[in-house]
Amino acid sequence: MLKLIDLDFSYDDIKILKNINLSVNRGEKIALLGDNGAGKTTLFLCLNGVLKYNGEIMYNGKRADTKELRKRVGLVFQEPDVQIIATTVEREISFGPMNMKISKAQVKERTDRAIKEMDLESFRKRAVHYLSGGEKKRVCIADIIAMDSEIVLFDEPCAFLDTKNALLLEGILNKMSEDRTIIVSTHDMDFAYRWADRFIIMEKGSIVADGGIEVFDTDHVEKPMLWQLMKMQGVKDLRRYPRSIKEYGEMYNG
Amino acid sequence: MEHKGFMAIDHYAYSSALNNISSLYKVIFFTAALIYSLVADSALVSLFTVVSMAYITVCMGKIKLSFYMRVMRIPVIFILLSVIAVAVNFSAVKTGYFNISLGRVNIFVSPRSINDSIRIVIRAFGALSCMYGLALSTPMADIIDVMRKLRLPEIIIELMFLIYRFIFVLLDTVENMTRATVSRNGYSGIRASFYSFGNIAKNLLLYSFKKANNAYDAMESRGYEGRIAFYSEDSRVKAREIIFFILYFTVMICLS
Repeated sequence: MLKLIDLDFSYDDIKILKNINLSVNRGEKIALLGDNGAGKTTLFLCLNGVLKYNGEIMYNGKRADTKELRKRVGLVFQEPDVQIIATTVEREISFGPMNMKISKAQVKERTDRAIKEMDLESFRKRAVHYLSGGEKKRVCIADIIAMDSEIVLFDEPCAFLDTKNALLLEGILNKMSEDRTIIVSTHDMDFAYRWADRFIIMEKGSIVADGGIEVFDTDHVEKPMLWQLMKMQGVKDLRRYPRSIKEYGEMYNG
Repeated sequence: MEHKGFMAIDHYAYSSALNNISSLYKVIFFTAALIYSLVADSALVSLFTVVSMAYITVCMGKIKLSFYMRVMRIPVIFILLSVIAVAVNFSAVKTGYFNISLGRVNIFVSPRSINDSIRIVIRAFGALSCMYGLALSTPMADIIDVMRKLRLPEIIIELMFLIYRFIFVLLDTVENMTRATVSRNGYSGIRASFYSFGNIAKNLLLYSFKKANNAYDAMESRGYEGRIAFYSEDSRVKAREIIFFILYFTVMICLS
């Protein structure tokens, strides 16, 4: 679906991204892991066409230009106050579709759909500066839903959220992944381990590991709690590694 | 939650019962009332404007009377100061009322200057109540939308949108910075206060540059190509609102 070939990005002669080669397939749930400064956000900005990169990004076998990338790939920024530029929820969500030069009826239809999907109906006319952090995050996600992006990138989606809102967001991510490809950059290993099918680990601008839960066997990344528990119990077969407490209960307590 | 100053006005504008009336109608109504009360130059018209606008804002808009009185009080000091300049005259000879002699110069007020001052106060309050009527019934975002409909230059409209949006973000940041400074005794003396204030101002400037860059990236990521456009629907003007408009201005014309 999306293929990155020898992607490089430099800022003031400092290489931020080095020789990134990556394939993203339809319907995947990918966690992008790595320390601060590893290049995760920069990679997202390149994938969305905001930053000018060297190398190639292919979409369905064809070279994708900036316009194509912005249409196909949506980016939910880490800080809602950076992403939200409009004054009310409805105006904010309509901003992306309005830029797509589609008819007003289509803009309204997309805005209404995104508002419904993110359960924001009661906030429609509300000023964004009176929303809580969790509500702002939902508005940011609705922004991207309204753009009908096939691939959605989430930059640190759980940042600034309390446990309740983080769990709510996880539910939203699961629902969204039913018909979209989702890539999430996160420091929360337990969340990544529980949610993703594929893990990509970045270090100093390069991809150092890419695969299933076996990537946690490398030294590049901190280990999730459940992973550590299974290691302590001496379980060697990765197929017997539960991905959630619920799964753990089902697997080991009958 | 208690809102202060500009935040409070913004909050009441969103919660006003008049919020669901067409913004274009409200802008035209309040602006026309403002212009007419100034042009008519009649104390009766101005008095009618003050009372009727208070009724529209407080009773029809369901804004707290105590809040309305509080915001009306803010410009009183400025108005009174300007009125003193009109009311008080200077003369070389003793004349008028309340004559105070300061050597060769006499300070006095005359019946005419008192009359002029009262007229100015009422006119100023009339105009002010129209402005507050608009500000407390129509959110800034809707007013900007109306300006766009009235074909104001696009650059002004976009700047207004962005300034309005980021005022709240920056206010939040200033509040957090100030709290962090206070928690470290940053305002414990005049010297420390100056130092802290300077640092907050400097950091806020740098922060706003960074925020502006990030916001631009976020806009680009959603296809921004030089024009900020949003979808918004204005309410339709109802027949009773048109009747109210006609009646209101008929009364004003009759009073002038």
